[in-house]
Amino acid sequence: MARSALVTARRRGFLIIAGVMAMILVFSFRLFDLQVVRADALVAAAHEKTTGVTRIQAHRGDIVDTNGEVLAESVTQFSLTTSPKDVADQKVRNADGTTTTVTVDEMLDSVAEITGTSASDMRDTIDAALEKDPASNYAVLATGLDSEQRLALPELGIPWLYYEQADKRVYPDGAVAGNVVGFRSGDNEESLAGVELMADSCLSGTNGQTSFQRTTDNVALPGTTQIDHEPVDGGTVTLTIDSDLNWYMQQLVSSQVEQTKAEYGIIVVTEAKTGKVRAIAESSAVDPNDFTATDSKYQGSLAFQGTFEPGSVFKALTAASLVDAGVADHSSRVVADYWYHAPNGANIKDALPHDPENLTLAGVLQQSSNTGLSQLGEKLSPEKRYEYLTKFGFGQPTAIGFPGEASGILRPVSEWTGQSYYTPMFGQGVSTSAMQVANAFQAVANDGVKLPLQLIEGCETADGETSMTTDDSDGERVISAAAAQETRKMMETVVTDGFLADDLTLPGYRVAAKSGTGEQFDEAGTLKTTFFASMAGMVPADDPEYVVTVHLKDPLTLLSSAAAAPVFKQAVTQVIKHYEIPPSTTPGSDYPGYWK
Amino acid sequence: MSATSTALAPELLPGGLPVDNPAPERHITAVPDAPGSRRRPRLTATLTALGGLGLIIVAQLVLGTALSHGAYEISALQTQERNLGWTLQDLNEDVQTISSPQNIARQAQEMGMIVDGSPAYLRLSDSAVLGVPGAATDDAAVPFGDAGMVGNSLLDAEDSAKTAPVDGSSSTATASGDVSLDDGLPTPVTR
Repeated sequence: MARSALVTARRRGFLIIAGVMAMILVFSFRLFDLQVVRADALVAAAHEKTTGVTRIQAHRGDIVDTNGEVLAESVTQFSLTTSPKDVADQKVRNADGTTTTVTVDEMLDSVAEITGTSASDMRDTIDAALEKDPASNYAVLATGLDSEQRLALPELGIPWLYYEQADKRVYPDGAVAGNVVGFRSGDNEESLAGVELMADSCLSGTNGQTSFQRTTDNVALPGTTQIDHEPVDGGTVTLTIDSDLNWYMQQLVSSQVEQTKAEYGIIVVTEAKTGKVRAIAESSAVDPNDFTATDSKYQGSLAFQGTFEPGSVFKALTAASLVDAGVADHSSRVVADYWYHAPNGANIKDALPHDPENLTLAGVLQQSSNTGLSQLGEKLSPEKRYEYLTKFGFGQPTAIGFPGEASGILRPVSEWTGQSYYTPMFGQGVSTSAMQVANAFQAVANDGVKLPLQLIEGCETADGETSMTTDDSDGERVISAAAAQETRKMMETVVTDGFLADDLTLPGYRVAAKSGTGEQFDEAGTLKTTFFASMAGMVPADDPEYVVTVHLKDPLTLLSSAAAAPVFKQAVTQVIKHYEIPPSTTPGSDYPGYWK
Repeated sequence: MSATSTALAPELLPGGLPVDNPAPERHITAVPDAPGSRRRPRLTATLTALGGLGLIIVAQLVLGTALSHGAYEISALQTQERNLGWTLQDLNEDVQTISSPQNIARQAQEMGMIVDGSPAYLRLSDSAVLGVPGAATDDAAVPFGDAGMVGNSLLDAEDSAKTAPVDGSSSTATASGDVSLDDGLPTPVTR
């Protein structure tokens, strides 16, 4: 008995040990499974259950002008929200121990006094939310609040008011260069136009993230918030635009548009020796703060996107080509009659009837004679003329690459038949943008070298990296320096001796310019009675610093380039004052316009 | 010398060899009680320890309170910093809007200033007059239109905020009537 009891005891011991071992084994497996095999998934699941994340909004970069004046910036704004289910009258304990009840309406009235929104509207919002869902805990009462309002609201001591924060894009200078700066959608989510769109990738930053331990009802536990990654703010875009100059030009062109009842007007100021555009003024300026107030066809930039037949400003470029090719000079003689019946059957006439005139090439520019230029222009083959126009930049967008920039139309030589064999000489039958005209005259001003136009100096990110810069390019030679100088001297006599001399002469300064009155066809193909008036020129004529181009569409009270001439003169005057250009000390051009 | 050490002494004789005689029965006795006079320092130590403990607890309480007070202070200061940051941003925005070219031009127009059409310079080195000077007139070929032609809805908002103050406490939007130069340059006032 005693022995069998001993065996039983041993066996029991063995079983217990085996059982324990088995349990240990099972637990070990489970432990291994939890801690090693499924560890990552479980940690992630736990993390998700106990952690909340919030986005840290990265600041969108500023857009500044060449002097650092802010044209676009992001500011923090606030919305006022509430939890409708908690909106209730409130008992307030007075100093003497009594309590008074403040009604919801009274509280909303005091809120309205700060936010400027209507108290009854807010009441309606709350009621509507409750009607939809009696347990509603979210409704927006007011948006677009500034910090002053945001800080005043909590002092009302209303427990059911909450605040949200969001970046808003503001444009402190309003419509100054608004068409160029562009704008973003109302919810600040998307860039829609201008530099905002063009430089979007550099302007927009990368959002950051914070995470925190949270309770089951999603409340952050104090002290657990940590930053996962810091937001990276967007870069600052510096434009070549000078906002003060741009404002003046806008005011000027708008004044003339109003006075001449034109549809719109454009002034472009370009630095001759760098290709930097200092002003792009459009009369139909969009205020990016409130772009919907502007007709959608004027929300973009007509200087880049609009095209027109430039008219006689092209004569200066044709003359430059003739001189460069060596087939004519300023004194080349021609007899210009009112009509010119060309050998190929084309019939060219001048703007106004006149007797035959003995004009030089300079005189052709002064009197803007179509018939004279057609005869002189024949000396250059259409292939060559096409090549010059292409090199001047027509038929292709400028180097700026503005969103939606127009190429204009420069038809291939094969299509230059009959009338259109001649018309490109004086800017008809071709269409251009204002920026292309500015670039072509920049080449004439810069001794024949066309530089890539620049609108953006660069975009500098927070860590000091600069992108979007234009390489210091040598540019492309279009005509020889001598041809450019001769062209400028011919254009100078347009100012001093041309038919618009009274409007253009600027005492003390040498200015070179050429007018243009572009004919226009309507959609049905009939010639319109209104014109596209232009002036293109540069100052000082002997060594140009700035190129000024002016365009007016459909001026009604002055049906010719006479509408653009006074604007051009005042624009040049302002450029002279703004950049402190000293008066000319050399004598002006003495190219005669007539021969005997 | 205690009894124990006396008992062990024979085994630790010089030479250290085991003595060839049966092991003596070991006497292990407790160390005799210390004299009565030694009890008092222990009591003192206990009291000191307890006192120290109390002190530590009090100190911890005080420190904890101070720390949490500091935390509140930090929190309040952080809030203040945030609010001031907001205010700074608002004021910056106001300054930028007020210094926009169209606003400055409008102020100038209201003061009766006009744009001079004929630039001329006086060279100081030889008193030479460069350019053709003339009186500034407003009969330019393109009369300058109203300064509001180049719009700015921010200025409009600024204006309406000033003409109809929504809140008596909003102090940044105050417009004064007469411009006085007594205290230096006046701050720009939009109308």
